[in-house]
Amino acid sequence: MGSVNYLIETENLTKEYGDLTAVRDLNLKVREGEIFGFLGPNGAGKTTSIRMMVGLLAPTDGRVKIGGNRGVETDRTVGVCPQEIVLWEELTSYENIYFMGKMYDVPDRELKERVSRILEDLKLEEKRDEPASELSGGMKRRLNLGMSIVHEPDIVVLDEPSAGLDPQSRYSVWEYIKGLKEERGRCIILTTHLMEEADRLSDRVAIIDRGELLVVDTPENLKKSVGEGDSIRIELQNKDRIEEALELLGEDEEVIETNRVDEKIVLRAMDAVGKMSRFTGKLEDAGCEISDVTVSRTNTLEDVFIHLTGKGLRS
Amino acid sequence: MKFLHVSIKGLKEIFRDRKGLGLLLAFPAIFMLVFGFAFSGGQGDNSSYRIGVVSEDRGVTISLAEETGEEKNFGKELVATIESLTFEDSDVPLFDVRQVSPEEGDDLLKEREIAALVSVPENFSDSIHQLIKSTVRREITGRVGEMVITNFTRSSADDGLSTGSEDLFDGEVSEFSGDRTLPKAEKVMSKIVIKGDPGYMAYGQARSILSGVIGRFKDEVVDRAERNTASYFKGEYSPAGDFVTVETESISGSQSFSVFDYQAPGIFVFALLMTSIGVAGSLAKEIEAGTLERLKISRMSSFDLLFGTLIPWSVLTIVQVIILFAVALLIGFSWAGGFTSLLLAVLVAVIAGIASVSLGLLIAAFADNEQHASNLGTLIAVPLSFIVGAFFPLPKLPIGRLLGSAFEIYDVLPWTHAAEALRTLLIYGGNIGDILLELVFLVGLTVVLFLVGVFFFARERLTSLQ
Repeated sequence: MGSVNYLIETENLTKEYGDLTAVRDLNLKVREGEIFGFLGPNGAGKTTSIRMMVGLLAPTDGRVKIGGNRGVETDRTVGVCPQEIVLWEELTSYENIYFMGKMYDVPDRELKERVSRILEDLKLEEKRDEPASELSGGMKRRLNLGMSIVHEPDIVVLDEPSAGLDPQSRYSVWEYIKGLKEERGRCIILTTHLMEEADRLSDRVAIIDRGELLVVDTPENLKKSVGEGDSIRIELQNKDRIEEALELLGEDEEVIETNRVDEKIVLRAMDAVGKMSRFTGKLEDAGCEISDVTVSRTNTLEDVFIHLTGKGLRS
Repeated sequence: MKFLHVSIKGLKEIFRDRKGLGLLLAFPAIFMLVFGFAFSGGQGDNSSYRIGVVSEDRGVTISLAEETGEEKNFGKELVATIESLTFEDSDVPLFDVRQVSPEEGDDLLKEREIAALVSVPENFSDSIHQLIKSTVRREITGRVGEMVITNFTRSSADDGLSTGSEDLFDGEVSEFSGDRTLPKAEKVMSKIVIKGDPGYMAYGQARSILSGVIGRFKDEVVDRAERNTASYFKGEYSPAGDFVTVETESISGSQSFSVFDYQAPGIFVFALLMTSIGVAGSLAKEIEAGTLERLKISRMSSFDLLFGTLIPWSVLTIVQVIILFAVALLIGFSWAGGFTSLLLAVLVAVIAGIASVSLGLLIAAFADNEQHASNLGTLIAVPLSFIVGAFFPLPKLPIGRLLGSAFEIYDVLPWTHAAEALRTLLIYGGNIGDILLELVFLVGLTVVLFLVGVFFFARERLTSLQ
């Protein structure tokens, strides 16, 4: 077996703003050619972490190695697609990408070919000569992505790349990201608060909450780590009885785990469908009015997050 | 050569934003029209400054002409002189003078019915009289010596003031003999007060002219006394006239100048300084929109960004300068010198504009967003226009000497040299030789300002955030 080549390594990376610790002792190793997902709710410290990793933000403590070099001075190139749409509104789609290529010293002939290819891949070729200000939100976000990869960087950092996109645009962005890895061998760091995005795209996922890294593993292993069993979500009409209901269900020997997430009761149990009437009957006998029940037979990354933090990704 | 691509991007952004471009081009035109109107530039004539005069001068009997015992009132003569002044090559009086009481004058000042109130004290004539006698005495003793003169004089029966030396002025006596003595001067001080509202621009202008006229009046008194004394000693006849006459001379060429023409160089500098606000806003927009962060992780340097931004804004500045001059000429701006002076002035204005663009880059280094840049730019550019002497002369604050002349603290700013060079070219009709030094300073300081901007922008904006 060949040795694993790590493109980015962080050691005890910490960022403090006064009394607030945005990121605490982050230790990560991102491999060459993998899609590394950062999953966590808004404000978890994902963007702060990657801004430190690419040198846009000075860490309070700790260090970053890129391509085996300390700091960000390296011959390994980094491309960053920011969470916000960042482009020059008066320039056309072509000019926006071309200008960024020039700022990375891409030779002119090669650059023109690349810009055309990116516009085609991102389904923007028809808008090639349209000013960015005339594009729709989804198109702008795709252009935002195209501008960050024109110099064919070794490491592509995508900060919430599909935020605000409609399902169709989101799917095409996901396909493009997968293509970057599979066809061009890029290392991609992806931050997202969408469990589906992290699950579908990432080779490995780091779950982060309140500035602390909770776990890093493949999506499959993470989902397995939650354990067997199905997940049942119960919504009560009388929400003031949720704590009482949680206690009642927690006492049941068939229940593996209970959590309160977004004003709902989330419980885990083997063969949940067969035991559904047992659980709902208990609640109704205790005077709890059930308004909705859903059952999930496969674990998701959100289940992992709930298992780790006791709260949902959107909480 | 990344700065070239930054420049092309900047030019595209400026010229494609039609609304923004329209405002940028309309600004110098509107600015010049408003200022031209404010300084009556559009009418081609001049309006008199309304002033009030409180004359309490009691007059004096001239002891130098005791045979006639001539009564003189220098206060009245001064007021008559002020009233007689006209704009050059024009019949329009410079001042519309109203004789008022102190109380009336104060009320009129408060209502801005008059631009200034001139108070002539009761001992004004007396002090002028003493000044004349002092001058005569100094002239005579300076020529033949106090001791010699004393031997030829004998004491007057009366006091010193009643004895005369009228022959020094009427030329009838050709030697020292008879009942004569040197005039003795007493220390009599008088003070003319020019009062007004410092916040009223007309006051500033009227005060400036009145101070000059009063100073000139006093100089003429001394000058005439000296000349008459000298003519006696040479044995030449010099007809005695009034001790005091005031003439006005224009420092300009043959053109008829309005207040607007005198103020135009300062207006140009002021308008160009305002450019810095737009430049700062434009760069701050890059910061606010996040595009600067995109550029930060590319291979672009601070110099590429700032030099690349300087170029399109300098192109725009050239267009703005042309508009400024064109509108000024359309509303009747007159300048001394020929077409060459005008072309040189355009060149100076363009460099001053580039200095303002550099200032904008520096301001952007400390602004977090467009609004912040706009406020900070205004806070800096407006006071700067006064500090560089665009509108009013500055008090002397030398910090050293350079190339044989005093180097004032304001001379570290490029626009001070721009304003000076524009005045030399447009008011005095100077040529390239007359402004060479100012031009060298202007270019040098503009380069320094740009480099300072690059340094601070790199330090504040292109390093990792803390």
